[in-house]
Amino acid sequence: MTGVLLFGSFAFFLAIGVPVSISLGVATMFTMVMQFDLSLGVIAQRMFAAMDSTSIMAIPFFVLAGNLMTAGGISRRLVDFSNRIVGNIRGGMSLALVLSCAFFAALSGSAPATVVAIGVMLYPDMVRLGYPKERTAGLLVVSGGLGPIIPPSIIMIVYATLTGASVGNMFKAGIVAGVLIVISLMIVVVFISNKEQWPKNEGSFSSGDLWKSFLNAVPALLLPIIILGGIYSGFFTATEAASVSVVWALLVGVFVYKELEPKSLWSIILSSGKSAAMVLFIIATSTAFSWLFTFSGLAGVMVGTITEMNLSSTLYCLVVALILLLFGTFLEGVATCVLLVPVLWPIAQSLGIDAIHFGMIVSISNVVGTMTPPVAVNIFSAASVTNLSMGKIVKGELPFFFAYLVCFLVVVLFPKISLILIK
Amino acid sequence: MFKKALKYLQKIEDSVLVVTFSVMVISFFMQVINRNVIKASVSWFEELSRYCMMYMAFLGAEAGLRDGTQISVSALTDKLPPFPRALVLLVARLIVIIFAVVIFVTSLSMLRLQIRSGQLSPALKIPMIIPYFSITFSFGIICGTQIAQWIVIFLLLVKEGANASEGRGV
Repeated sequence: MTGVLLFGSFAFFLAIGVPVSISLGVATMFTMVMQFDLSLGVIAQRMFAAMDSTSIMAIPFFVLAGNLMTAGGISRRLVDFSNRIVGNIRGGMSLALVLSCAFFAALSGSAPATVVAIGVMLYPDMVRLGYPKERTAGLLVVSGGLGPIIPPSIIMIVYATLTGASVGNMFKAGIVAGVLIVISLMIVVVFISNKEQWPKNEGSFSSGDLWKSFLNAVPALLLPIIILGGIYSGFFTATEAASVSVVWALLVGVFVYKELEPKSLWSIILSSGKSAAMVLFIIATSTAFSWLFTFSGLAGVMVGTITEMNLSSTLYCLVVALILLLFGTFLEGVATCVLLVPVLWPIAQSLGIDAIHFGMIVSISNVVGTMTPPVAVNIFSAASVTNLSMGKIVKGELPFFFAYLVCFLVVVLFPKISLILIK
Repeated sequence: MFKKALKYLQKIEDSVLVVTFSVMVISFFMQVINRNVIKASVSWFEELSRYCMMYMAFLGAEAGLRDGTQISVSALTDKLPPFPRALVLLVARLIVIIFAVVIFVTSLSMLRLQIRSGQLSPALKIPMIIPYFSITFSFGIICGTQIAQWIVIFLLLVKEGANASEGRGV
């Protein structure tokens, strides 16, 4: 009964257009009033406790760093560099799109931010050159999914906060999965672009131009090296690395690229603050939701049911992947993580599943949710960049989406892939 | 006059957001520098950033709720004809208001508890009521702005409804 109330009311509030964050909070409140004799003060208490966390602070920092980078002219240089590498074969700009998204993902931890930053740069040009609109938008949605996979990554930070896994190791595993996804997407792009006769660039390859565009991109490409190098050498924590990347983005934008005007700083900080607050607020209310989920015994029932099935660790990983995909389709990614990881992780632990491997399953499934309607932030973002309808983008993304799912399955089934870079 | 006051309030809210966010970044960056280079015994950088984040997060949530940028599902409501759609969205907003009022009221008792215990924060040694107040403050504003918006939309709907029925009468 409690479960029906909690999830039913949540679904209802969501359906009538209440924002995701509030739906989570109000469903918690509603269930508490109907089923339990508890003080509602717990909700505010939980929301406060969720925000009283140092590791969560990495999220606003990475959002701000990403926005500073975009405003500072970084995306254009990354796109330019990618275009010099792969732009000259058939469908080359699509390959450049995938590669730019991968580079940008190494600066930003968010999928929609990646979609917008690269989409704005490449989409209009690609359409002008005759690339099919729907396919390009679809590819953008799926490539944007690299944002939370290639480090830094918001979802990995949330996961590590919940389970105590090492953020550094999560990031290492993310690199491997990211490379796997980039390669798979590129193979699909080459295949489709030849089949559908996508345009080919007129220019020819020049190593001089490549070198020049590389030099231009160096200050941007140095950032991931600073972040990851800093974390792995123990020089700073993930949150500290995030604050360093804000300062680096600022310095590069103002002094190296000279495109970031001090005047525009105010509005960049303001808009980054608002979009980071959206994620943080969802973490706050889903922490309350997740508390009731555990407190009411629902989580226990779920754990009991799964344990009774006596699954092997591989099968359990598959089941978890399915559950996460299902929840991720309707719930916002961070909320899914906050809600389900505290429930599913202890079982995984008892089955001897590695925390990093499990974290990769959580992270990648989370990204899949950003590409599938109804709650699909990547598609929303792509729609705002391309002015195409959601349905058309979904149609266009299908082949790339399947490639992504295959990569996901491979990561789920073979723990070794996540652990390759970790001793 | 009224509009001017609103604009002014908006500016104040924006400023709080920008200032808390900036302090967060600077303070945390100082901690990195301090820990690795200067090595002075300052322990409050991290706490200051954390408390700033609370104000930033909850105030930012207010801004997002007001301008409608908080993620919500519009797939179903978009399919409705304009008038029922407006009604459903009015109900949705009412739910936001209920949530905000409850959080605001319950946070008051949280504050009372903090005042009575007089607890100080571990590093900064400021009263714990200051970080807790972030919830009361932001949800107070959420209540105000959401109720005001609700009334505006409601009046607009009533006016439209009246116009529509008049149109049918003729």
